[in-house]
Amino acid sequence: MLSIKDLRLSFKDNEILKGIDLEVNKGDVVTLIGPSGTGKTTLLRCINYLEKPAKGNIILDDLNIDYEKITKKEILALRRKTAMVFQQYNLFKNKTVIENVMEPQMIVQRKSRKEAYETSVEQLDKVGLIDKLESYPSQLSGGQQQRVSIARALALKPEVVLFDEPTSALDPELVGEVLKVIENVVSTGMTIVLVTHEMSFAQKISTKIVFMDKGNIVEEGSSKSIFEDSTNARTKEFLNHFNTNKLNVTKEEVYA
Amino acid sequence: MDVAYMIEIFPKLIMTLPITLLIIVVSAIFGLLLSIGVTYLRLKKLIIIGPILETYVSFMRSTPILIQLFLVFYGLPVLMNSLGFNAGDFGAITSSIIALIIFNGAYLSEILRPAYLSVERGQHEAADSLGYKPIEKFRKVIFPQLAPIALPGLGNAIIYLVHDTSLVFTLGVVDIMGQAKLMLANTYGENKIEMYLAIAIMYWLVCLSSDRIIKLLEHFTYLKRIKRKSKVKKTKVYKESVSIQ
Amino acid sequence: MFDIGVFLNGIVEISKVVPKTLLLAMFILLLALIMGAFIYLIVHYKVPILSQVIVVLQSFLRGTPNVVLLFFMFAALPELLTSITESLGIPFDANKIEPVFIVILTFSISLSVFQSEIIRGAILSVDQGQNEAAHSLGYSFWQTFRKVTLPQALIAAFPDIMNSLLVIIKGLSLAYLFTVIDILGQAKLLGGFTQRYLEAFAAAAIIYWVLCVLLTKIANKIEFKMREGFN
Repeated sequence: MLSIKDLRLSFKDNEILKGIDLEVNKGDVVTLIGPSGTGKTTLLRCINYLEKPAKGNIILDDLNIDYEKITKKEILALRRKTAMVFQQYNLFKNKTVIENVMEPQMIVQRKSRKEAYETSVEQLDKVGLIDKLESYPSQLSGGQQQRVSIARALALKPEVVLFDEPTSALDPELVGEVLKVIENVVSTGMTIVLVTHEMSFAQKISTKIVFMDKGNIVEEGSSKSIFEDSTNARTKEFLNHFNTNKLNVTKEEVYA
Repeated sequence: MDVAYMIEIFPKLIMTLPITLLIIVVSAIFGLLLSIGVTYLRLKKLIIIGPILETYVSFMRSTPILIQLFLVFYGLPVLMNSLGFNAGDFGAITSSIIALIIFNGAYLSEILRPAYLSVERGQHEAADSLGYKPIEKFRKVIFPQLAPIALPGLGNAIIYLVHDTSLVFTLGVVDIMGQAKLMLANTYGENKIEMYLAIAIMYWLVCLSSDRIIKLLEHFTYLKRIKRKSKVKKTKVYKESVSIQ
Repeated sequence: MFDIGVFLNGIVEISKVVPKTLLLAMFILLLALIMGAFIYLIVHYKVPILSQVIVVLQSFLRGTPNVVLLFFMFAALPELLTSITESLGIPFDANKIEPVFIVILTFSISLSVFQSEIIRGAILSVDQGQNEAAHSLGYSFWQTFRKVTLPQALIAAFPDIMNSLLVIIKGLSLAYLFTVIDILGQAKLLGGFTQRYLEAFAAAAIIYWVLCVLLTKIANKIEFKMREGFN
């Protein structure tokens, strides 16, 4: 359903993505993990062209696009098949909650006001914010804003939902409510690509883990194969920071 | 001070108000249109036009409006002639309006540009990622957010425009100031105090009206909407708690 | 068409007036700041009657163009002074008042309101924690003000104050209407003398432009030096 080949991106003299290949099947939950600055978010943002790769090929549903020759039409098409949930929520400040969820449907998908309203109410109910329809983002907590943001993304019924560190900007008490909502999204069978630092959560819900370091994919595999059975030194060294207790890294392996 | 005289000359002065208002309104509208174009081009950071525009803005902001009035009045015919158009003199009113349009094209751009840039990048990215086209994004997301930021500055700019129009009499326009000079000549310069006080009050009223209009426009922006909503919420809660008792 | 000779000569001739204009502008700025400080204090401490008067004055000065104000002051001030000195029995000839004084006074009053706003903003921007730290260390009120609040407020206000200076320099272009010769006044004289007004005004425009750009650059350098140690 989503296939990325040889993705390359440089910023000034730094090569940030050094030839990435990624396969995502329908219904997959693919989580990108790794140290900060390794290009996980950049990779995610290449999918909806918020970052501009120098080279690479992307196949999404019925689209087959060469990044070197990408056209405005193709960019729009990519963005209409995907939806992103941002670290900073990025709800439209000048619109109420219900308007935030309704408007993209009316503008981008040309739905009628009635249809958009019904879908929006449905989605906002699922994230537990049915009583905040007329509120403005500035009147909501971070966790509430993020849940609206998820409703806004899902209301468009995209092929893939992209989560860019959805809980990193939240106060610790609010992280749980958002993770719960994401879990519910997973259970509906939605295809998801997720970047996060919440390791236990990633371990729980992912069908595939991709560990990145310095612009490369170091290792990828199922939850179990990465978190429990990894034999890769770099992977183990990284995961050790999260005290998963299922990993035994010896001193020799770290210094190897 | 002869207040009776002030009241007497008011009608005569008000008769010249249309000219002033004409200059203000025409300069404001076309100046705004020009500044939108200038801002758009400046934001794009083009290679050749960019520096030219920055020079234009710098020049407009560094020179007094009076000089700009004179330059257009004396210089525009010369420029037109050298380009091959056989233009006569431009009238005083036309020169004033052209000069004020050129000035405001730059001045207003310095208000619009920061207002546009003040909208967070995240708002752009959210709209882009959802598949908004640039025009749709501007209409629905960006413009409503830059408007409350730009309005106070634009309000001030109109006040300055009103002040600037008080100078066009130096080119020979018979507006309030021009009329005043004529009337004072008739009375041998007596009652200057009353005359200029009356004029000051008139300008004051024009400025107050302009401020009112801007306040009205601000009423429709999203920030004021949010303020009104949060006020309503407060009274609702209060009423409920009272009824419980 | 366009006489380059007159233009270049104009730049030389008109530049001679720049120092005088600059001095005049700085003096006006100083006066406006002092008045502005008083206005700020009156408003801040909510002095009865005076505060309300200030509010009305603020609105009036914002709504009145400088040129109208100047005409008014030139008409009213001599009469006012004459009536005061007459009642005091002092001989006074209103015609002897130098126009430059009235110009200075008018501009200072007109600007004082803006200066008080700048002062207010600058003092507000000084982090309260700074004052609290000084108090807890035993600084007196005046010591706190002189050593802690004022220096930081000055740095915060500096860009706006420099901007005001530029506004005054441009505003003085009206002074020629009242026989005070500034940059524009000199240009008008030159234009009348050579009958080439366009070249004279163009020269004056260039001088204004260069002056503003230079002053802005100097101001930025000074501000940079002042902020050293803050970042």
